[in-house]
Amino acid sequence: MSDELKTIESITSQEYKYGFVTDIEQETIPPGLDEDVVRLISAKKSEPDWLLEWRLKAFRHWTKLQAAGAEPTWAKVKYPPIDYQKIVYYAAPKSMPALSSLDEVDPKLLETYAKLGIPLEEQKQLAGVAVDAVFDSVSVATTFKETLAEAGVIFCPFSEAVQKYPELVRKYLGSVVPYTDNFFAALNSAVFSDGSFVYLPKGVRSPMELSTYFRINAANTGQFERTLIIAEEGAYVSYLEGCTAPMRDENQLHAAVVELIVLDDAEIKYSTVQNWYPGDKNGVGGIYNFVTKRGACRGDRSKISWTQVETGSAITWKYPSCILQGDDSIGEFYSVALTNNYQQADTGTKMIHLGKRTRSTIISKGISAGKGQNTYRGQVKIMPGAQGARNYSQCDSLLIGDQCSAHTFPYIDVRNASAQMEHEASTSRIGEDQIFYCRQRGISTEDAVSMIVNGFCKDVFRQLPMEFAVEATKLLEVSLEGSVG
Amino acid sequence: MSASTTVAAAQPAWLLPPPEASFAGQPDNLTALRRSAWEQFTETGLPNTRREAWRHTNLDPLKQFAFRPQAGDVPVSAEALAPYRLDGEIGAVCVNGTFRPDLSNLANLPEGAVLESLAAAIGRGALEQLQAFEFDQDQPAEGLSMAWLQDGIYLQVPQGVVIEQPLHFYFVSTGNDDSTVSFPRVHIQSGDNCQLALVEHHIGLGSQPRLTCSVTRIEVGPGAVVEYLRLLEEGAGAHHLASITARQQAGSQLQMTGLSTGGDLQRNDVTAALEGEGASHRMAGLYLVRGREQVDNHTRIDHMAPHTSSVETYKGILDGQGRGIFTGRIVVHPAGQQTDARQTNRNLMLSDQALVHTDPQLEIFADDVKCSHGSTVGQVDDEAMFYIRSRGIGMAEAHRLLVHGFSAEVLEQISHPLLRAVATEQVNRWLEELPAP
Repeated sequence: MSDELKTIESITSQEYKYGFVTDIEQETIPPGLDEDVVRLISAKKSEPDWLLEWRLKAFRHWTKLQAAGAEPTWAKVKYPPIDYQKIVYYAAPKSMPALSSLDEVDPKLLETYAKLGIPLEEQKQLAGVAVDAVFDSVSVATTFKETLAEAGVIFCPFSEAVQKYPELVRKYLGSVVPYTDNFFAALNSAVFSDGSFVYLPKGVRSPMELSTYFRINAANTGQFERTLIIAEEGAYVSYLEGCTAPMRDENQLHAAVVELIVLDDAEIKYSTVQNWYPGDKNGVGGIYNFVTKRGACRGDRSKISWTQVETGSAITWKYPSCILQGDDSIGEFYSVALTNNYQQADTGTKMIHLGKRTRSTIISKGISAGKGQNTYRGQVKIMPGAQGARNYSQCDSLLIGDQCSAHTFPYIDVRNASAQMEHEASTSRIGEDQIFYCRQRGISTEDAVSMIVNGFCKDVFRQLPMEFAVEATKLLEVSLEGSVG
Repeated sequence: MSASTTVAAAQPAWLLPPPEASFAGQPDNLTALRRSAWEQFTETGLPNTRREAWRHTNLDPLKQFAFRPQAGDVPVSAEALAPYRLDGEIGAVCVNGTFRPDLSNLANLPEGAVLESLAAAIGRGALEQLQAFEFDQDQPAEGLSMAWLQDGIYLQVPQGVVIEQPLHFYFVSTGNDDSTVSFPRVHIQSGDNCQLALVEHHIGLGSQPRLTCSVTRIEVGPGAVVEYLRLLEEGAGAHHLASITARQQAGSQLQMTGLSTGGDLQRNDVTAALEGEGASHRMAGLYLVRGREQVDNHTRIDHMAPHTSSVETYKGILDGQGRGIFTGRIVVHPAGQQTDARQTNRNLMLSDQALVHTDPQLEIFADDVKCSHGSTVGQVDDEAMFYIRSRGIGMAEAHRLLVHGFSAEVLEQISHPLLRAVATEQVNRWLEELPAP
């Protein structure tokens, strides 16, 4: 046992690997938030009037919420109150390079990506993955545009979409997550600086997996990106996002909004590997990851699949959800959330069944180590019209160490007698007999733990695209290295 | 709309401070306790649906009723209770919350055990035990019941005493002319290694709207074995708010089963704290809901000591526009290492208009534990139906058989044969009125 404890200590004492600051000249605005800041952000992006109006409406709504003290407190996470006037709401690398080729991109940026293990050059050769890299809040490089353009796929930074395809953006923006949805969605709607926009016309299968990389670099900035993906009838896309942030002592706020819209027979597969800075082992610093992600299966036989691997952030608070409107539509949610040291995670999903014969699957795996706190919170709602709806949920928690905790709060509302709903949850720790079995066969405790944890998460990793699955496995090893007893 | 608003604006008597006359003749310390309970109740008042624990149950409609406490000395015929009597039972009867020695039958009570009116017990100095449990701010029955405290049943079983005959506590509410509110309380103290089986039976004899705010406290001493069955069969017009709290010492076993059939609105908060090492607990519930009835069960099991175990099984059958709510929480405290806890909630929906909310919850602060929960919502299996019908059994009968089979899992868990029999009868009464699909 003492050996195991030592291993645990060595793992938990592992420092954040991606903690470096890229020294690039940044263009920022002074901290604080008022209508002028919203106007300024909008002006910097030369946005049309309707979008500015929308931002202002969102900002006024947010101000009202804040005045009413409506900042949500129901989640099982603890953090000191956020001073929204101390945050910088816009930070962009100053010298925006022309994006005709990678050579023109600031080499320092490329270096950053190289350190992160996703060099764009390699990506370019690694056929099948196009990268739209978001550095702080502005997209700086987009690859494989031509290949995608040939297929008819629009994949571009959000700000570019606003200029080039305003009618599409205007039609769908806020239609799944309106600015009145919640406190952080309102904040995001007011100040979002960039993000990704994907549009798949009727019948188009994206020829490659799309990928975005987010990185928060400047101190005291918030990242408020907005992603909008629309899949027209029969279209298919697999979209990946990865996130990191350098080491910063102060907590940084990340409040993103992701909206997915899927029409008849279309499918979106959305995968996230989130590795924001989790704070040091005393719980100082780290990212507050307060994200609203929601997809609407508007068409019949449409499908949305969320996969997430959450190993970072001081606080993770997100519930990727599916609104299953179309008949026979399918929602899936696969999640691995790991909390170590003082990390807190309150995450889960919402499956709202409206259409007939809609199906949803929820597989959630929570791992708590150190003083980590892991909560699954999910809702399955089967409305009266959802004849023959089907849901299966499974939430498992793994406890590593005696100071962590795991909680499960599923909310299940069934309003239709023909619905079938199953929910299962379990909590356990790595059995001493399991470790013993592996040790007996000459496997070190650390490897045994890593093996068991990987086995525990297998159901979720299997859903990830190949490159991400490898990265996720590595991330888990890094985050837990040797940590288990 | 405006009419209901005006009714709600004027507080009914049961939401006003208890009249001074009700304190007459009571000991000073009880008066002080009741007044402070009223203070605590007014801090939150009747909870609204913005409170997490009350999201699915709206108590506002209760405010339109002018419930009034009724006298306990109204005539109740022995025949009215006869159908419920068990063989050889030790029966104690409360009418409208007041203990009635004339209807009770304590002949079989073994020597050493005390079974008496709560008022008498308080007179003898049992007041401390009333305060031994924490006040649950989320359950208004707690505050109301203490503030209006008049009477109830007090049971004390000393060390090593085994009571073989079932104890049967009746709580009868009457009221054919007036809306009744009653505040029955049960306090049970079981000493080391004693053994007993108990039925708490709520029966409605009146036709007017009624409200029962019931509080039950069970202390289970080290090594004691206690079985507790709670039957709610109050009929149309009945509203029931209950708080049942148990504390278990080392090596004790407690089995609590709740059965709900009938009543417009029921809310049961059942809490068990496993305080002693090796305590084991079984919690079961069956709620049969039809018409526009609503049953809301909130349970909580705290594992506070090592090597404790709990098994929780709640099942619901929902017909008509019935609403069933289950919120079950298992909390494993840091000291609760080697906890083994299992929780299941299964619901059978017989109608399209029925509604189920099920929120099973786990909160775990220890690492060496085995905990699981599961919940399902489904309907009568077509294949099983076909199988039975292919053997020449009619539609209605086949349906009833399957529904009965679904409820059997809970009934079979009741260990004492007489307790199982009385619960089964109650379920059968409900099933008889079950319409064919």
